Amino acid sequence: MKYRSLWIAGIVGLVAVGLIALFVTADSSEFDQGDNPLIGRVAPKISASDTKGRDVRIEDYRGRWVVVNFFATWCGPCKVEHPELVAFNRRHADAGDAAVISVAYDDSVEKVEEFFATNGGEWAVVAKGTDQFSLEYGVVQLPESYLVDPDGIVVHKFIGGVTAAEIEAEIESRA
Amino acid sequence: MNGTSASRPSRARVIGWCVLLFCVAVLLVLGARPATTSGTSDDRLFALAGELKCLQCVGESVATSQASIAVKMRDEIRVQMRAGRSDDEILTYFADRYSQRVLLTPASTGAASVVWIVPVVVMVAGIGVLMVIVARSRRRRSDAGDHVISQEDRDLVAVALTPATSAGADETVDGDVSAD
Repeated sequence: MKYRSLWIAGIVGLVAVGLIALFVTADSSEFDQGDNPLIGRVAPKISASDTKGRDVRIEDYRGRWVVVNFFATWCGPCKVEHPELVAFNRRHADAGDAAVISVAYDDSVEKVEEFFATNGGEWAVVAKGTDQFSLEYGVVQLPESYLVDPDGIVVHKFIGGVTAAEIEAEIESRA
Repeated sequence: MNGTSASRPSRARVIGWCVLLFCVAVLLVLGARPATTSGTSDDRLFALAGELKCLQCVGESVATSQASIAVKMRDEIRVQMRAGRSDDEILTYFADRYSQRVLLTPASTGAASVVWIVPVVVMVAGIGVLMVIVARSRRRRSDAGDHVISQEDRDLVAVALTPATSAGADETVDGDVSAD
């Protein structure tokens, strides 16, 4: 009776410590901002016309690695990242074993065309009617890129600016 | 006689508590039930959007945010509502693309399930503690009744309250009291 308050405080303290321990030791992927349910699944469809009027269908890229890059001309990190994508695309242009598809996010066709004319990049760029694609890929912040393997399965998501070396490393780790 | 008169209000109190608990349970069920689960009304759209977190915002739901992603998600909800999808199907669509973190209602599995379990445990423990306190208080009151209001005490009080008519009577009362 004399120590009842101490007992109650002890029990409440133990419960609090238990809860903190539970959250600290819990599977961090559950709260990981970088987790993505698309990984391991067939890449969502991208079927549209690019800025040059050509049909773009991600299914037509089977047999090649594909980097699906979501970007915007108004996004600073996207401008920094762009030369890396150019370098990656050039490195694989002759072998034809990898390609890039760019999907503009909240942007205009004119600005995207101007961006590519200025910064280079010889690959399919979709700039119109892209809202559905960004939803299907679960895009949150720009730039974001998805690495799709030759079987059409999403194998990795790059959040933020990506380098050619990082993409190569991901491809090599799965080769 | 004491026991009968004491049990009547107690029974009424129990019935009162039962009615109160029933009302609380009914209100909880009604409150937890989603307002609309079908159709294409704005109410349903905003109810569903309110279940989704705006991932480009801080502490805002898709229902209240004007961020680009929230606008896109509301448009998508409208499209799916028109296509006749159920609430669960629409929420699952977003969870499949943005992961469980897009849902404002926490998952009932893994460590996140603690947020569901803890309130129930605390409530049950609280009710238990309350019951113990009430039972102790009743026991104390009942024990006190047995000891204090004896017939002897009643007689003493009756004598004390009787108006004094003579000195002898005063002496008798004083004598009784001092004898105690």
